[in-house]
Amino acid sequence: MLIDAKTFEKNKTIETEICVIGSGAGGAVVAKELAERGRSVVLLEEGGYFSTADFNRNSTEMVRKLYRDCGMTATLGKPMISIPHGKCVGGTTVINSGTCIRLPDRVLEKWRSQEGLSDLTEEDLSPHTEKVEKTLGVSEPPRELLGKHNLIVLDTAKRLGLSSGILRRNAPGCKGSGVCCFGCPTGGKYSMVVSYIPEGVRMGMKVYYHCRAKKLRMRQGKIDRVIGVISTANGERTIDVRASVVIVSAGAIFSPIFLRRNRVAPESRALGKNLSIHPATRLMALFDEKVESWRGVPQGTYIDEFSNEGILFEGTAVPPSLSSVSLHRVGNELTNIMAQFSHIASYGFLVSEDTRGSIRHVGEKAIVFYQLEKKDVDRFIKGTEILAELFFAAGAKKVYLPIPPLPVLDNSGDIGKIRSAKLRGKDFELFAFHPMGTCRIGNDPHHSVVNQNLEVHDVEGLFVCDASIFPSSLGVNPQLTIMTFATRLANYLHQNASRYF
Amino acid sequence: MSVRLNSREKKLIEIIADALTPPTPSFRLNASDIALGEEVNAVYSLHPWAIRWFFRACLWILEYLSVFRYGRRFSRLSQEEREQLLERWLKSRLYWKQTVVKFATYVILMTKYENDRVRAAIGIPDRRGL
Ligand SMILES: Cc1cc2nc3c(=O)[nH]c(=O)nc-3n(C[C@H](O)[C@H](O)[C@H](O)COP(=O)(O)OP(=O)(O)OC[C@H]3O[C@@H](n4cnc5c(N)ncnc54)[C@H](O)[C@@H]3O)c2cc1C
Repeated sequence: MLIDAKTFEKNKTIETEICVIGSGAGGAVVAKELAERGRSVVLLEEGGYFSTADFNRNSTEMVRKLYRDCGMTATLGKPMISIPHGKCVGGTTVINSGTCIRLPDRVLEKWRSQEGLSDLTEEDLSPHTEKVEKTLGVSEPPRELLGKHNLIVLDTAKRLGLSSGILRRNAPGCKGSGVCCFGCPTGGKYSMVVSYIPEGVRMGMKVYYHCRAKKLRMRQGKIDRVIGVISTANGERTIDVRASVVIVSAGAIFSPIFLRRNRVAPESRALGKNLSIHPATRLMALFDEKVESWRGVPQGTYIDEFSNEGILFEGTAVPPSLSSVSLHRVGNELTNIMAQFSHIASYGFLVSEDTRGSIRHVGEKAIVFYQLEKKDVDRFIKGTEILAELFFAAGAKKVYLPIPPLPVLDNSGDIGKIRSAKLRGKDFELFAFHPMGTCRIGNDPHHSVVNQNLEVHDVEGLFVCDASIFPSSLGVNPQLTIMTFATRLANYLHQNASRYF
Repeated sequence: MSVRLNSREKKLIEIIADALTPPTPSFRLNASDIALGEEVNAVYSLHPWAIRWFFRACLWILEYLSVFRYGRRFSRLSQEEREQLLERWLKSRLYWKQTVVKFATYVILMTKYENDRVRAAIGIPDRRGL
């Protein structure tokens, strides 16, 4: 059942076995998997519920409905990095690009060897990954669905012998509408709101939306209940969810805030720290031929030749509204570039960074501190040079950089201007789509928040299951890994049911 | 703080928009043709309080700080001076100047290029046809 908590006339008390907070990649998957195994599950979601019929391709309207704070969330630091995330049933999966990449072996190996996470083996994780991939129909899209902006760069990369390919996606019904990040209007992308959530609801799970989990109550050291609040026109209502297991899946920004506000893990020095975000940027380029980047899969191809250096290139299609802002031009020049929008291609890259940030809060509001380190600035310089080179090799007439102080590049001879400009972090226009790591897994309660079963150290029955659990940045888009861990957690709870229920 | 922008602010938005992307032979629509001030107002009123406050502050900083350089408010400058000022601030090494101009122009440009008439004028098919 999907229930709008705003319709409650009075406060409510519910008994359940499991209360999940947040309905994104972590929460929706663990909730559905547990409901499927016959457990009674209540899911609380702060945002509203929107279905495929509500997704109308208008990016301004969709951003307002589906994104937290109308998408205007940013880090504090230099540069300020835009860090949008979802606030709706389905969480950020509703507005993501649908890319599904498996956790790289090198990352898993590092977690085992450097972090001592010996339980996390390939054999342990891969059955769960396979289950998610099957449920979401993860596969490569056909070439004809890839937007031209993807193919221009992919074909050039292949010609130059760079390791590259087509990204696998959870969008088996994709029609190439080109607006994944504003809610898929055809339902072809299997975000949580069209996959795990309806399936969980069919299995008896109850989803209360417009309800923000606020308080966690314990009794004799054990989980007792979660209190959610609902703002209605007639004031605040509460919903009291009595449960023996609570799974916090509010995302890497809000899970640590929820725990801290409830004085959980006070001895942990890792709570809200260790934030990595995969800072990212994009370049645009003008071509003689029409690109029409609004057609086809926005993020359809990748170049992983430089991933060992922490740089992963991925396709991106930016709507005209965002492009106009990212061009950093003024006057006739900007008008004329925008008049040629159908000839503009964009492509981006993310950095698997060394920088770490932290999350604090003032009341309900999150403050994300993140100051880009020199080593990562160098990665941005290198990534920008490589991508500009690729665009020119693909026949671009001009390349527009994400660096406001620098001019437009007219040919590959201009690329040297990037390095000679002695750029600093604040000179770049950056975005971040993958906050992670703020309730990290570990064996030491002082330097981590959850154990290898995702249970908060020393609080039986309290789990964290979302992007916040990763001990380091993944270097690839995280949703598949989050869902893998969520499936694994459901399995763990099922196998240890007698201990918890 | 009032949820709605006043008429001076709406006018100022259209002036800034036309300084950022003035009509040219390849694109003839100006900001008042699409009632951009009203449209920004509609979008703006739905934003959280802090964002509304910051946007408004950025508008007024832009309007009045030009006095130090040109002796006149932004809305009284020539088109050329307005473009110069926006460009200088956008590329300024002073971070706060960049932030002010980026934020004000972000809201204005985002709204402008989401407008159906503007999208049609730059060759993007109707959303329903996509
Ligand atoms: C534009 C964009 C594109 C992306 N593209 C990709 C991609 O192609 N591939 C990929 O792998 N990843 C992508 N990502 C990232 C990916 O979607 C996220 O990493 C993933 O969804 C995070 O899952 P999560 O469970 O940690 O949090 P979320 O999915 O963000 O879910 C958290 C949910 O918790 C809710 N919540 C928060 N606090 C509370 C509370 N107190 N009470 C109740 N509910 C609460 C929120 O409203 C939200 O719905 C993208 C992200 C963005 C922004």
